[in-house]
Amino acid sequence: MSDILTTEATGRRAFVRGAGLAVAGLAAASLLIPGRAEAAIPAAIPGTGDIQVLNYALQLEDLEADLYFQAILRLMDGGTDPQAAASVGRIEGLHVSGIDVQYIQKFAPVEAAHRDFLKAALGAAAITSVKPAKYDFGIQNMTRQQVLDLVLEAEATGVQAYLGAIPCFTTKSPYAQTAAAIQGTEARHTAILTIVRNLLSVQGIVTDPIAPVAPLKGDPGTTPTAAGYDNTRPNTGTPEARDLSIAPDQVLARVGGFIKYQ
Amino acid sequence: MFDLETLKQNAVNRRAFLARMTAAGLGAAAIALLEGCGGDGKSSSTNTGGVSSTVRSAFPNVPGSTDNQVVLNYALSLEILEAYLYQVALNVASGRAPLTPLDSTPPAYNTTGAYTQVISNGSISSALAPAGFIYLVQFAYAEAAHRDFLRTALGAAANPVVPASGRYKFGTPDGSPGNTLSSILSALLPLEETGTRAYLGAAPYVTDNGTLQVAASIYSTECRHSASVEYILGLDPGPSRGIAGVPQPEQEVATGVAANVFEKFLAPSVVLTAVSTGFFV
Repeated sequence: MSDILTTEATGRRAFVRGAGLAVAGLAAASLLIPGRAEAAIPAAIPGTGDIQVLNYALQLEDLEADLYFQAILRLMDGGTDPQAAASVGRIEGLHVSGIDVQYIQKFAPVEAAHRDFLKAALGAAAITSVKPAKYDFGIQNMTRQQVLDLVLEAEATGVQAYLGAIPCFTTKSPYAQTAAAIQGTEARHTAILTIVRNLLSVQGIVTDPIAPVAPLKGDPGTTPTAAGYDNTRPNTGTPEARDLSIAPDQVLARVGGFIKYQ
Repeated sequence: MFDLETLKQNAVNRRAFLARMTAAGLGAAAIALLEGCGGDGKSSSTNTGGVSSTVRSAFPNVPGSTDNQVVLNYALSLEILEAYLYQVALNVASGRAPLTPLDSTPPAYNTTGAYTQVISNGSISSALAPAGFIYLVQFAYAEAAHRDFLRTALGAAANPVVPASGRYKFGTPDGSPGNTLSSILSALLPLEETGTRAYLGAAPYVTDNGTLQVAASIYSTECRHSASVEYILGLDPGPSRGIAGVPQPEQEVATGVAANVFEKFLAPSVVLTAVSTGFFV
């Protein structure tokens, strides 16, 4: 059993930094009642109806794909990501190898393919898509575990974001099935990265990959907070039987700090 | 047993139903599904006109008075099958009689409760086997929760397609899950993968986004289960094409992309035929 990862969860917390407190109340409310009025996609995302939902998805996939790119640079040999914000600069590599690197490398092209697919679909319709963005995740200063935690959190958020966007589609939208086809892959990624994290943790395998947002070993008993966790079901409860949704405005509030529009 | 009509009109029963569903992590879903089925009348325009000819022909012999009822009875049929075979698999792995009911209290998070693995690991390493057994226990309860949730939400409209014998077999040559952890998980995997494809294939027939969201929240847990079992078995976590035991032809939402970019889907008629011929006793 590897002990290369510590039990700190700081990287995970970094993902919700600055967003958590502001939306705590909203998160609790909308998790209980999905698909209500607060599910509308914020006006910052261009388009209306299905097009706006696709642009929302594109924004998230663009972010995710670049996160994977930066994560590989950080974990491996370093380099400069052309989509990184100027504040990132050159990312120094940690020169590590293992199953975390293996699966992050495996999933990176999948996220890039999601982004490219959505971009092409919108482009073919000559639709104004989301503004070009660069990203600063603070990854240049992260430890190996923090990188994995951040990628895992992004995937978990992705699943919840797709679920939360379903009510925003027009009824019987032809795009809903495609969006769900992406949602499922993000769920697979979340499950695998949870297992990888367990395997690399000092405590061994314990965290159940069925959990929508897998509680991290190392912070048992931690009160789940705000955007990152579901406050309604503590870690000691019955097994989860479904994934949870997050409304688009909350997702954007959570990830907004990473996005540096040009 | 709860009844949808009663739930609509009786606040006490409605609360009891929701409390039970909340215990299984399905509280919010239950609210949305009640509404999607016409529970509060808000969606009545899409649910009171009988079954469309499209749905009637796409889901052969699946009962229901509305499109959503047919789709949900289809989902319920598959969840009954999954829950049944997970229960058998868990009992076999734990040295219990195959049809022993699940212990009434679900094991706590990340634990196996009173279940102890008594069979050998098979091809699974000793490092991964404990996780594999935990997943077997936890997923068995999750599938049972899906089944109970759909049956309860459908209420009087619950009318699944089930074998006349009331019994199912695994899709293995002899219909058994074998006697190692690896053989058991291998026997369950095609069910999970079929489940993901069945939900995705049914999505276009759901008539409102509230119901679609609930179905999708169950669907992606099936994706998690599939990937997790595949990891334990040393397989690619997918989505993959042409998995042994998964009905064909599976379909793609887009062409020209690598296999692992999108989940696959199956036409309901393909699933129904495969299930009735391959899993019904």
